[in-house]
Amino acid sequence: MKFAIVSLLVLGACVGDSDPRWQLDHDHVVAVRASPPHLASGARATLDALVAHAGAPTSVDAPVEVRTDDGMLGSTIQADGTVLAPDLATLAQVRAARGLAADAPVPLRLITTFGADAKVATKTIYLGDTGGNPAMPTPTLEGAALGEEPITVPAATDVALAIAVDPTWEVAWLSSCGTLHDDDLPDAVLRVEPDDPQAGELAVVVRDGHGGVAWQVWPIATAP
Amino acid sequence: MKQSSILASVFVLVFAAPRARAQPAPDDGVTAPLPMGDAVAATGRVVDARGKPVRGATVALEGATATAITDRAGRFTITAPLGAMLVIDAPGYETGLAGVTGPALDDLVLLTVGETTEVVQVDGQAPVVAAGAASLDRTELARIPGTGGDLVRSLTIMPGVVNTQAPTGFGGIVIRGSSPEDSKILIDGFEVPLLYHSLGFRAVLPTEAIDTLDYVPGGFDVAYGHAASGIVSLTTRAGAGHRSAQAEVSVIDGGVLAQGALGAKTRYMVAFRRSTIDLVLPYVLPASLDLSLTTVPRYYDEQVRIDHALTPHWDLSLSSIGSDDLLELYSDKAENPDKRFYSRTRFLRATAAARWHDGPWLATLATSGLLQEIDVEIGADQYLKVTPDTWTTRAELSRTTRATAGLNDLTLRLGGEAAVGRAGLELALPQQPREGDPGGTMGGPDGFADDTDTRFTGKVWSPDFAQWGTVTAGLSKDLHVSGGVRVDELQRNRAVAVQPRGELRINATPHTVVRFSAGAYARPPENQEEYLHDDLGFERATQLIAGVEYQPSAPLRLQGSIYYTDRARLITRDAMGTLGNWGTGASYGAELLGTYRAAPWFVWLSGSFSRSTRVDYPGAAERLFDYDQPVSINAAASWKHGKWTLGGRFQLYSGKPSTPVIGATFDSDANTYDPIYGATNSDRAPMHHQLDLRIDRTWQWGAVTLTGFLDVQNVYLNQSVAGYAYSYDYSEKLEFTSLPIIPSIGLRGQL
Repeated sequence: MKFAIVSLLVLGACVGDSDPRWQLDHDHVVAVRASPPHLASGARATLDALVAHAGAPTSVDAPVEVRTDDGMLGSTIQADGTVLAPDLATLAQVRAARGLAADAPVPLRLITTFGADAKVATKTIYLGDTGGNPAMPTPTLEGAALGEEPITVPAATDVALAIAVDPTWEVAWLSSCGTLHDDDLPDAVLRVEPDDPQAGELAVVVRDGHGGVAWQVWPIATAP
Repeated sequence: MKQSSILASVFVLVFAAPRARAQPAPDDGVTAPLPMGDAVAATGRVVDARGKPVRGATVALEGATATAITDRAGRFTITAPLGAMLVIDAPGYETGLAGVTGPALDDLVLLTVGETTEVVQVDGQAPVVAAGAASLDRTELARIPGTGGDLVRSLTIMPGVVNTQAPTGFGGIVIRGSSPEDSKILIDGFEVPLLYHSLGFRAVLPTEAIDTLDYVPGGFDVAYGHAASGIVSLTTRAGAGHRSAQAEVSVIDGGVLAQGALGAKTRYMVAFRRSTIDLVLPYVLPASLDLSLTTVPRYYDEQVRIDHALTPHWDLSLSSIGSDDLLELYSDKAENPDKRFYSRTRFLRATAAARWHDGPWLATLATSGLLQEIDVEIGADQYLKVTPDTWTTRAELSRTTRATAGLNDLTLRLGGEAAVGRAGLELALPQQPREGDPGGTMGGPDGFADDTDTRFTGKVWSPDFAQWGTVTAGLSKDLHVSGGVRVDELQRNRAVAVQPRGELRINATPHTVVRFSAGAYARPPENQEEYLHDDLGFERATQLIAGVEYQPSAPLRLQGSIYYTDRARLITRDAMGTLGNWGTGASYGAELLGTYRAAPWFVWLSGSFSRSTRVDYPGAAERLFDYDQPVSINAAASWKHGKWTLGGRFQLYSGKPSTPVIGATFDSDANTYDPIYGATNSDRAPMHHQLDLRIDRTWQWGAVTLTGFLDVQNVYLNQSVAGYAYSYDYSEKLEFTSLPIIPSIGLRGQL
């Protein structure tokens, strides 16, 4: 869409500002996690999400509602919001009805709701299969591994962020401190200008393309 | 699935391009692209700026051999068709142009080089070719404020043309509630594959290289086809009788033009232009924008035209027009290949035309080749590589008799055209949004999604043919009728469109002409991925138009028209997403135009009201057309005095409809938001008004004339809303607004 913006700029147009997608200081669901995302028959998955809030730190919330529009697998959702994979016979029926191979995972699209303001997010899990969420690789800041401790960065300086992931994975960097560049790439850049908030949070989310998700969040501030 | 508007533009470019084909110039095959009237012995007088007769001036019929020399009283007589253009040359004066408006022409005023670089001062107006039609010549185009002298921007002054504020793709304009691809833009009678250079800010040929712009919003002759709405016909500039050269530079581009005569029978015009915006843009874009402009928008274009009077009966013309655009950028500073956009588009059209006339007979023959190369790469996965080439040959024969079987000026005309296209295609792109589909978002995946739903590799041949015939006759002195039929055939699609058309013209008073026209029109399936479906048929339109023209004096003309267009077999997607001729639609409206053309004034007042709706498939709800902008008013005036030219233009027009987003769902696996749309086109941008001003000043140093201009759009800083976009999660609705003030400055030198 930036091409369109450039085009309009050349034509003599401009567009109002909005929060970029990497902005953590904005009410939205960052990622929904199913643990595990692949469920063998009889296995149970719990759901939670990384939720960003305007003017407040992120939180990891359980859904206030979980449902599905899948007519054949609606009963897999339990009253407590967990998902219980059906028995083998039911899965076989579903596979046959959908033309899936006998051992193929059966996707189930869940519609989840988070927070008092009912933010809606969809999440697909896979039944009749096994597999967990990916292990979080160790991110680096200027080449130094990031642990659990808060991060301090220099102001008005490009700070290199990196995470080594499988090339097929998707990466999303988010921050409520400074400006992120290449936020959807493994190698991103963070820069905190003097007029930016000087403290907040930095987060990274990885998705393995098969329903698996992992994230890490750090408090971040500029060096005094 | 996320889609970007640039992809839509790319598709418009590519799938409109391969089928670009000829459009005939029935009565004047070599130069003038529009049908003209009967030949008359036109008498007039050539005078200078003080009204003194100019003796010995050469008055020539443009594109033909007929000439006349003015006598000591400046008078001349020349036989020429109504609507034809006269070229007036005299030593010490700039070349002048005048339209043949009837047997008695008003005084034609020539100015010396020292007086101005604008050489044309013509009192009087050529007759229009259809109800609602209008024309502008080169000097008028250059005088319209707020256009920067660009002819495409000048089109927004026409009644019935929607000011979209942003290009509708790489070509096409919105006329009378129709889609951009429903109207054709012709240069010297042949369609060009694109109208704009990169990003749509400039036409592919400069105003200085054209002679006239003819706008026919509907009811056009059977000689024109493959358009369901209107025609815009540009005629390139024939060389002047004496040698001259000029150069112009502005913040957008710079160019040179040379013209002159080679002997008594040959004239030439050569023009070349290169962008300068690529030198300016890197300093204008905000640093906060995550962009790396590897190659900023760079373009070239060229125009060549040679006219040769072979014999008293034969006139020949050779011409070419070409364009080359290049753009490469990354939407990040690190120049990641996944975020690269590359576009190279170039074309060359070469045309040879011959015109033969002998007594009542007139024949034209034209053949034209079009070479194109389109190469677009978007990110790592999406690409489009097309080499569409077309060869078109067209012939037409007509015979006019003064009086036959009680009919006056009976003209029979027969024509045919063969266009053979071959396109090599390699593409991997997402499915493109069609008219009526809601737009995308900002800040999403930057248009670099890996969707490649539409894939094709191969060659496509498209042999297309057309035949037409028409009869025009005067039933009495004041009553003229014309009727004809055009048949278009698309062999690849096995589709045939039979299009009868007719017009009744009544001279109600000596100053008033009333017209009624009705006709069938058809557009072939050639837009976006339509080109990949050989089972699609023509889109159809039936036009009903009534108009009146009132010309109480030569410089003043008032005209009005009303129209109704019924649209059928529109190519749309049905509820299952299958592309087919499912859609219907209708447009109706009224237009008014008043013009005053007499030195030192050029005044243009236009207004239009229109309504345009669509039903995408049987059972679907009726909705507004994407460009349904009901009200458009333009008032422009230019005043010339000595070395100064001052002009102003006021615009008022409705905002563009859009489809609102009423909610969104976050897809956690794809990390995208799926919008929930409201009723199609149920939202609308606010009405906009603005004032534009232009000032030109000329200096003279010996044989060199220098003109500087300043063209300022929107002088009272009224920001307009061109449309809406949404934030990445659709939680914020954002306005695309015009910059509060847009100045354009340039210099033109003439030798």
